[in-house]
Amino acid sequence: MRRRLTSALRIGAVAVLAAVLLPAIIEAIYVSPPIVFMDDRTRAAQITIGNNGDRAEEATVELKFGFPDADSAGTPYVRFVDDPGPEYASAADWVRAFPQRVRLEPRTQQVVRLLARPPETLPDGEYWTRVIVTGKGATLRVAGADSTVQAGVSLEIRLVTSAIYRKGRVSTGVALRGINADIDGDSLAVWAGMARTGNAGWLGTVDIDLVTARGNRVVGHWSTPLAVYYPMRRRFAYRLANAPAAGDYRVRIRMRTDRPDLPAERVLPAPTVMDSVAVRVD
Amino acid sequence: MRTTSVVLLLAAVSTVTGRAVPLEGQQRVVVPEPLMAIARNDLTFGTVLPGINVTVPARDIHSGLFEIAGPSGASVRVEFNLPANLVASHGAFLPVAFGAADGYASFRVGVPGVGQFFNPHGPLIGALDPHGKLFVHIGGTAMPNRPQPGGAYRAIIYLTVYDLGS
Repeated sequence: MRRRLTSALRIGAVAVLAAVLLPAIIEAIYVSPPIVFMDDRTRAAQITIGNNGDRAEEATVELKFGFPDADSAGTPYVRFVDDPGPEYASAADWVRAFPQRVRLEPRTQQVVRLLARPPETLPDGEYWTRVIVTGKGATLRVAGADSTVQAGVSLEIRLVTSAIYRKGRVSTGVALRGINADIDGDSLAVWAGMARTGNAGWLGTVDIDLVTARGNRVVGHWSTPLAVYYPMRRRFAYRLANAPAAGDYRVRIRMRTDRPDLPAERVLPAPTVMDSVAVRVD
Repeated sequence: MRTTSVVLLLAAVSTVTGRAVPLEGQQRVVVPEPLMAIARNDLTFGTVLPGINVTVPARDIHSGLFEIAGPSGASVRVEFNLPANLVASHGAFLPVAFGAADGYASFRVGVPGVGQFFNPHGPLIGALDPHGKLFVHIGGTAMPNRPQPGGAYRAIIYLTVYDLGS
């Protein structure tokens, strides 16, 4: 009983401390859900954008074709394509957001509808667009007299999420190849080439385990939600609790279509893919 | 200006958990968490004197502070678009610079030694913590000229948060 009370007091203290330490909100924009699904039956969906701040916000909603990719160093980024050709499964040209510009009073939200008007001849498959929500509301709280110099920087926010349109029969899968791993001090880096199969994007989770060479001890475990639309060679970087002792280790990687953050019926199933690679700490 | 620096993540989150309610024989019900960005603090240099640089460290109380919130373990890329000058209403410029350690990312605010410095000219690749939070601080240096016309100088830092998991 005492332990439970102590625990409750500790949680309460942390909450109070967090409230004291966190400065007031200047600007706050949210998008819900971060990924929205449409299909050829409904051809519509909605997102909610909101303002959790204390000042009114002007928010804009823009749709643009893009997808997660990785640069030559394996660093992930969202690659935007201005005029996507037929090699890209873009929905950006025929999905529209209504309204595209909204005024959000403090602590209010607004529903934005996404309406799809795909071409009649659109083949079965999955089509994508990024949803870009920009909030513009913060004003600088700097007052300066003519004889003094007052300086400050205000902050403006942009959120980039995604919308997916599915038509007809869709399937997905992922292939994993060319795994490399490196441990430098307390940092683990894993490079993995990934390519999607089927006619839909692969949405899932990557599990990475660092284990001893015999596999009898897990040194570290990490899970990362991931989307694979086009082939990429991505780098995953993690910090270890401690630099591992010299010796031989193995990095195990597993890609599975489990996404606890998404409605299960929206995640396309695919076989789990696994591979591993040896790594040595000198 | 360097734009290629890559920032490693803080410790990544071990498991991804959503608001799932798994019940025997029932479909999992998930209420998706919104992706949210909150600006909690402007970066403020205060009153500066002509010819004397003023630096606000990333962890200073006057640094800019963003909070990013979303699904637990969400994979995000955070980018800053930084100004080279502050501008007064009468059009005068006041140069401003951001150094390699002017970004600071952490899962907690006000707790020393739990985060990681990064170069705000490059991206921050990270995961939200099990509570779905990530805090990003930004400092900088104001470099007033001599002479520097009086007035209130301002600029905007743009923060973009990309959801990499969808």
